Amino acid sequence: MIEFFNVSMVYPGDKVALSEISLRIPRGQFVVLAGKSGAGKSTFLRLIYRAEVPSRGQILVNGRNVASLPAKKVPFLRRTMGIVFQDFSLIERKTVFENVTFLPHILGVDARTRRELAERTLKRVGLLDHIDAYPAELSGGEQQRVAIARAIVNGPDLVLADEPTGNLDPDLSREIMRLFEEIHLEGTTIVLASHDPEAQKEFGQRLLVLDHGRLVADRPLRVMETEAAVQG
Amino acid sequence: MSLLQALAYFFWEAVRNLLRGWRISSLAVATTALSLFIGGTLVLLGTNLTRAVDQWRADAQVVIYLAEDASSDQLAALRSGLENSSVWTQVREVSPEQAQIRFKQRFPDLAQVAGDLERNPLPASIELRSRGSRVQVAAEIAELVRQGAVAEIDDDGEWLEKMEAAASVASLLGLLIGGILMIAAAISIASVVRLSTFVYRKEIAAMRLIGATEFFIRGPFVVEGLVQGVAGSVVALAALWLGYYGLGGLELPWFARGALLDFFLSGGQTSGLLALGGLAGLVGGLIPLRERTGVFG
Ligand SMILES: Nc1ncnc2c1ncn2[C@@H]1O[C@H](COP(=O)(O)OP(=O)(O)O)[C@@H](O)[C@H]1O
Ligand SMILES: [Mg+2]
Repeated sequence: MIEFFNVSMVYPGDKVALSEISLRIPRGQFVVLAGKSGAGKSTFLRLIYRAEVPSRGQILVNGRNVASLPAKKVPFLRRTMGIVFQDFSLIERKTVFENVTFLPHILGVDARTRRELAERTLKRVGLLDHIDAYPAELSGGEQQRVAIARAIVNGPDLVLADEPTGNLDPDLSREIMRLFEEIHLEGTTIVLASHDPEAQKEFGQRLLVLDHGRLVADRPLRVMETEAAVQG
Repeated sequence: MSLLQALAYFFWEAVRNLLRGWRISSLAVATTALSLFIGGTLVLLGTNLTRAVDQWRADAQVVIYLAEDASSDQLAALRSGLENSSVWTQVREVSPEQAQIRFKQRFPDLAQVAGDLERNPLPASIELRSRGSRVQVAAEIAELVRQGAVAEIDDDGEWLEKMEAAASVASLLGLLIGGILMIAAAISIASVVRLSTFVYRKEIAAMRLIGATEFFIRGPFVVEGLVQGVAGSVVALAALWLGYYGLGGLELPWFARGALLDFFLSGGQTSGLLALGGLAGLVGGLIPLRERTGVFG
């Protein structure tokens, strides 16, 4: 669960990126964060994973006050979430396997278990064939699926995605969005920022719209067929 | 991950980085090796000289050549003076005849020449070995010169003193020059590691987002510096060793052999050299992590 209490973010140079945001995202919700470029979407996400500290207000993530978290504890906060970016942010000199299991590796998971973990996760994103490839050998859509596999390998409660389809053509974008949909159906909270109107039409349960740092809309999206099928 | 596993991980990451940029990392290794080689050569020279001087000192003598016109009173006074002094541990008189025999034994090629001479040109002498300090010995010698019976005094201690000073200078210079060059080595290692952090800055950012601690992010870079430093000292040791045994195969005058080749670096000196290289590498690896280049600060 994520809670924002009167959160404002002013960058150096009096650049107001977010102003007075208060909201609550319950566990398991799929939230689409919309708004034009420069509206404050990335800042909203960056505050959640503590890449920025809010100028004012408090942010709770699973009961933890993120704004006052000491820098040393930030890695431990991020291990509870998966983060996906427009530019994939893969480690170029590591294979798909090493990328996906980087966190398990530094947490001390042994090589065999890591291999199993990677195989299981890559199967979910349909990339098992490329387990030993390097990112540069993959297409953009494939690289983004590696990034998603890396984000979910640890079974996080929360997945944050900042324009995950921004570099992909429409067909690939839909594939990636469907992947998020599947992850959501397993109970994961998803906050996905996108300025792509397509993404907002078909996916997600709740739409937040930012405009010049203000929350100008917060409304439910129709219940999706897949979800209705599962619930029915 | 346990600390040992983490160190192994750092090591392999570091080796991977180094192999990727082997051209520039071998430059830093060469700088380190050259620094340690120059410093090591001077220390080796100093150590050998010191040891050689110690050995020569054991054989060193003060030889008093007696004046031909010395009166028997003067000689008697000289003898009793020498016997009563506590500085001399050995007082041995060598007659002109004994000197000639010794000369012929020592220089058989010249024996004929010496035998042909009408008169024995070699003077009588007294060979002394000392126990006291250089100051005491010098004072005694000055006293001897003041008594008339002495034609000339040949004191081995004088040139030994010069050799000793040269040995200390070599060792000191080795440490000094080596120290300065180690700073250069650390700086060149730092630039390799800095480049590495720059090349991988996006990956470093990605690792942070995944939840890697700074320990895991920085560890490989510190070890990258360390590996270069230690590699440099291994190369330097190998070069010193090759130089040492290479010279050993050459024909060298006895004093050069003594000054250079009596002794290779001790275990302590070898570990010291390795530690120095490692230290330069460690410092070189840590420098870029404390800079405000945007990657770490
Ligand atoms: N590091 C920063 N320093 C100063 N201004 C920033 C910084 N990051 C973002 N901004 C500004 O904050 C506003 C919101 O940016 P951002 O959150 O990236 O919006 P979005 O992701 O919706 O495009 C923009 O006007 C942007 O220029
Ligand atoms: Mg953005």
